[in-house]
Amino acid sequence: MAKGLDVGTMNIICAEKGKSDSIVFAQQRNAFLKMEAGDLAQNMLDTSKILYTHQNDTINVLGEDAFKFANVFNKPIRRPMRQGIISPDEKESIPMIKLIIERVLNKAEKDGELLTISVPASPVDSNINVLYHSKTVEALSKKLGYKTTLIDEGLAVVYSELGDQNFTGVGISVGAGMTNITVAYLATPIVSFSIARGGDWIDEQVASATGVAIERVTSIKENDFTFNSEYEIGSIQGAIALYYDALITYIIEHLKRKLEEAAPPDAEFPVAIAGGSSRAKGFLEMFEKRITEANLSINISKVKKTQYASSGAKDPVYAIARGCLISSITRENAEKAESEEVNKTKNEENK
Amino acid sequence: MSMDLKLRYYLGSMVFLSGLIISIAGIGFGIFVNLMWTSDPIEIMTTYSLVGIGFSLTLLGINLMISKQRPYGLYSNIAMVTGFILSIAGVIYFLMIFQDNWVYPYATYLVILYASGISLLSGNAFANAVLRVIGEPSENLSTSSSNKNYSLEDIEKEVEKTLSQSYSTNNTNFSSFDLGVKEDDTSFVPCKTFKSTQQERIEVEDFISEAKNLQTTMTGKVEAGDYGLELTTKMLSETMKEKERDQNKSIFNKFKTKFNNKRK
Repeated sequence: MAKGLDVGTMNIICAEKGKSDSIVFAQQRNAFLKMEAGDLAQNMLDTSKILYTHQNDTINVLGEDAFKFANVFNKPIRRPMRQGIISPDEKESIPMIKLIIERVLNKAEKDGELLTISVPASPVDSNINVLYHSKTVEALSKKLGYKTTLIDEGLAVVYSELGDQNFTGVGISVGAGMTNITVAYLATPIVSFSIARGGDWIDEQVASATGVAIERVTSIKENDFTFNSEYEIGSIQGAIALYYDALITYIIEHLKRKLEEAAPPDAEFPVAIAGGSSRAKGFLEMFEKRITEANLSINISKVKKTQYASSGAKDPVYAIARGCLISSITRENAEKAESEEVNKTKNEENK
Repeated sequence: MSMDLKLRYYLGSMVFLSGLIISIAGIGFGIFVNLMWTSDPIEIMTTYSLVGIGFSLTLLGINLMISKQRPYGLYSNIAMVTGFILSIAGVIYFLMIFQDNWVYPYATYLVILYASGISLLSGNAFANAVLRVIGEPSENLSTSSSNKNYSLEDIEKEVEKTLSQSYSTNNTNFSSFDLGVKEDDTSFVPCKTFKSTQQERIEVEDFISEAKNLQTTMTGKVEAGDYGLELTTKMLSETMKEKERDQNKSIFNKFKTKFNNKRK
């Protein structure tokens, strides 16, 4: 069965088709926490069914639980990925990502099962090279028996959210480490690039401006922040709003510059926004306001909420994995149709 | 090309064009009045002065277009201006002596004056053209190498682009490069929970209709009985039927009106 995988800086999410008309998502936080090993600690973790790895005299607690322990023990969280790619500063990044991918993806039911993975496009504002990250993630999934294809994260958003517009529009994924943007016309990317700024950049800037710990800024940003017109002087919310606005302006400026280099066709381009950092209340309205002011060289018809965001209870963070799943299912159908055609031709020749 | 050179080029073009027009006007005038040795002196003077001024202006225009600002540009400009002044002085001198003093040695002075002016102008244009032809290849080499200054970032991006293309499965020039993954030799020991429990999953109702649409968009093919195709066909059929009904109605109305008119 075809699957889609979103390997993000903050979350690794797998999407597969459910038994009825449904999608099944498996999500794991892409983070871990180093702790001292001990029999008591291990027993406690085993009893609580918490995921961890044991190495000599240290324990690495994985996923969402790592965040909980980080708050309890006031220790910094370790991240296998930084700015959208495998972190070169983290020695254990690849084994950790491998474990998380194996956990959410599972082994392929049959060899050659189709899988599409989202990867970041080349950044326009940094020397980061995405090739190593892409090939490593591809290799890890192939090891599990999958026939893997890589697509740009922005294109995954287009596949997931702009089906009603014939896959024409701008797909934006505002992630933790990076922001990926793809302008597509009839499912074909015209412009695809990334920006080495995302939710983490906002957290870092706010933390350095206000002197508050990054973890606390992240927590406030995720749980207690709304775009308002007024904030208290010196409030963290005010600083978050300021840096959110700076990020939005930065994204739109780069989009404008890239569009001026390309020759987009004369069509209506709706904008679909996904990714964990677009969850903030009022983000889309702010984005819509800024993009209207930008006077882009394409005709922006509307700024669209992801279908998961509009339903309320669900999360725009799933849109990328969903886009990857759509790509896999399409490939699967195409391969099926092709093999059927080949069989038909063979049968006709035999007759 | 700098603004100054551009202006000089356009000015030269204008002067060249006006010179050509004046020369043609002079020749045209000569043909019109059927110019002969016995013609009226005014006709002879008008024709030759128009042709003379026109020719000088044409050469001046060529000089302005072809010359560039070079280390020796000053001498070239002096030669150009002197040539033009001499040739125009020749024409003025012709107008002064033609009727009363069209004899030796005045006619010889005139020939020397005009010929030296024309020689200076044409020689200067020729020299500039030759220098331009000789100088162009070396100049092109130097400008092409100096204008393209690649930054380190540009080079890295180009390398990355080339590598990505070479590793891509769509690229037919290179075979795809796959990283192999050996079995772990890391000392990580996953806990029991990895094996004893399954990853928590959430199920969301979703028809994933985009998959079919994506295939249609990418291939441009639709299956028989496709919902979108059927819907469009029905709409088209309805529109056509409606149009037919309207036409029939209008034909019937015409007949009705004609019939009523005849009855009246």
